[in-house]
Amino acid sequence: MSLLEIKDLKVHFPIRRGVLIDRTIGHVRAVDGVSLSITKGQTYGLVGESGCGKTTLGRAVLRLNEITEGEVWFGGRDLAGLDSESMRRERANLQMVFQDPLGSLNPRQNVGAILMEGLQTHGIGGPEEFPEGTSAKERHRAVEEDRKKRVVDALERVGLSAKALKRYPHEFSGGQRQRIGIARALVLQPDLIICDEPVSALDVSIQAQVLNLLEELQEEMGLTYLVIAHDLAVVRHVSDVVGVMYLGSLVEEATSDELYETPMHPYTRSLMSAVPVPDPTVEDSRERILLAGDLPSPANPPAGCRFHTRCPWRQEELCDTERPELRTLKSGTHRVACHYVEQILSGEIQPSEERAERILHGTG
Amino acid sequence: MSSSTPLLAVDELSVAFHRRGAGETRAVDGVSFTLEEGRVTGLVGESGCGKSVTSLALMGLLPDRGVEVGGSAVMRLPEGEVDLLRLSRRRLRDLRGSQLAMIFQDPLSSLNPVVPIGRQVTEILKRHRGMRGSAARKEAADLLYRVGIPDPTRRLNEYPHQLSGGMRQRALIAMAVACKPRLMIADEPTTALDVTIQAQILELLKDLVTEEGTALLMITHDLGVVAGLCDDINVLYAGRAVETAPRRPLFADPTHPYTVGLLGSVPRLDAPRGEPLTPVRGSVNDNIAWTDGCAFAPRCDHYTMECLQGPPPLVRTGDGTHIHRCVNPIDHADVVDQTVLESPAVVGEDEEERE
Repeated sequence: MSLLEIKDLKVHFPIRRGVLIDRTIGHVRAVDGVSLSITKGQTYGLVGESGCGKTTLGRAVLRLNEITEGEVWFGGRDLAGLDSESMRRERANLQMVFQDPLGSLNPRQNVGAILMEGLQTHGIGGPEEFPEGTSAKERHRAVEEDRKKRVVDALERVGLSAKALKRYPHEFSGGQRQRIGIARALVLQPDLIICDEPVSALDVSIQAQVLNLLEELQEEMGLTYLVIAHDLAVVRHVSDVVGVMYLGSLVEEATSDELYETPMHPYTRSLMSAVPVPDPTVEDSRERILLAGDLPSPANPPAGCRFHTRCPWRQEELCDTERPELRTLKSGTHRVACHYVEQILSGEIQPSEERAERILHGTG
Repeated sequence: MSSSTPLLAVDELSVAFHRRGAGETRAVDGVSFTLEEGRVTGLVGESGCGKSVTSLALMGLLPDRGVEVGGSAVMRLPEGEVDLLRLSRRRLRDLRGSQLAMIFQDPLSSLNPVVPIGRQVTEILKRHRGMRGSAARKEAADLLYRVGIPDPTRRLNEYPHQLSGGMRQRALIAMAVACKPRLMIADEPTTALDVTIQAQILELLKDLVTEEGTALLMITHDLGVVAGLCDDINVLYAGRAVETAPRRPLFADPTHPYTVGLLGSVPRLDAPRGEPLTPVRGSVNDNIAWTDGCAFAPRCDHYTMECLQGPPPLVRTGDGTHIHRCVNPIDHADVVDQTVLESPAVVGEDEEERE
């Protein structure tokens, strides 16, 4: 059963010029037609390089960026069509963990206030009904007590203690700050947590602690995650299903194991070959595909397949004229957006000569 | 390793920062390593372990006031050996750029934003190789082409903001190799870049080392990068080297618990899924001073009272190239058990200690 379903989502940012009169001279197509669905209790990993639109997609789900076109179905409602007040209420079920743990916590609020704010905004806490004749003061106290209990509970779940309540974000280390960010999302007991680069600002040993924490929380509380990251190894480690984005669209989607076993899209293959493995034996022997050049501008994406300007397997026909649809392959769970994926996989199409020299075969 | 004297021998390098009203901070606390021509030496560690300060000290880029640099860094030059830490500023300025070069982490802030790329590259050629005018520009274009920047003559007139991140880093590398330095220091050269660009830059650095015979000191936190590029590796923790070894033994049989913890923290693309990571618990804030014992002891799962009896010495094992600073090193046989025994990370203790 899918908890979140995104249908043909587009987020375009206008490029404006002019001093007195604002003229729109074009659009940055940050997200340009992405469809995906996330199953309840699972982790969906979205991976891609900077500028591919993965963060914009995550923010658009929460409507932190305006959606240009498309639908976001969550719990039977289309979030794209909600007015801002209903969207604000809906956010109690959708929470986000941001990349920069210090930048996303208010430096002048202590941890207690940071965690309490969500509960206050959404009016969560306190018994369902008060017995007849309780005074306003008593009600207030009961609600406050219940909220405090929830906050402490969330803090304890992420490995901090009630002592943190009266402290300020700057008093914590980077890893602890990220835990506070996670606690802030947890305290509302949301259905879906969107983690935007949850560990990229942290040191490796701390990264692993936070990744383990996210996994434990998922097991305990049955959470659903959308994890957005640039690090393929991190995404593969935490995700059940992985989607690879390139220049605003999904190019491949498969279960985590399948994607690693048989990456099909040329971009996924080069991306995976570029991830260094901390093992000299593997490093010496693995194949490396060096892509030529940089990511094209999303304001003026190439026609046809967006990857054709850098693709070693590019063909004369179709690639630069027709944009490939994300189509499901025989296995049923693997979706790829490439015209020639079968032929490339079977070896029928070889990488072109000038680009093949950029494919390095290991020596060992 | 060759039997002749190394290109650069760093011995017991230490850097301490002084601040009024506070005790000194020892960022680097006795680090020794050697660099050889045509080899890549890696300094690995997490933030705050002193890896960047080491490179700044070698390049003489630390401020004069409030810093105390100790130890020695003897470099072999054509005209004899010199200690980089004792050179006059003027002499060091002659060496920087010509014999020593540095590639920084953030390519945008290391380039002057209001000066075209061409002038920034020719500046070095003018200063160190006495080239002028069109000859310098031609050489600059050649350099940019060599590091893989397409259409270099056009790029010479462009400003840093017009280049992409990968191209900026290439331009910096072009500036670093302009005078064919014998020693290059790369401080996290790929951290700010995407993986596909990182792969391109690493390949470029590897080619430079093998073709020009430059000695490269690679500073990074990424063990994957180290595994692919470095010949010898120093793992730093809290300002000291805790393990030094050629890359194969280091990754195959790490002996220091910190190295084992680091390797256990990295999710691997080729590992079977579903295995939990085995990170080091706690954070760098839990450290104790090296003078009291092993700085890593509070985070270590193997520590005993012996660890707290003063600073642990460096111990050579095996054929003498594998060195570690630990009184209870991990036998390789234990490592397998240890991954099972290790409990999931517990944090929060240090928070109480910070009262």
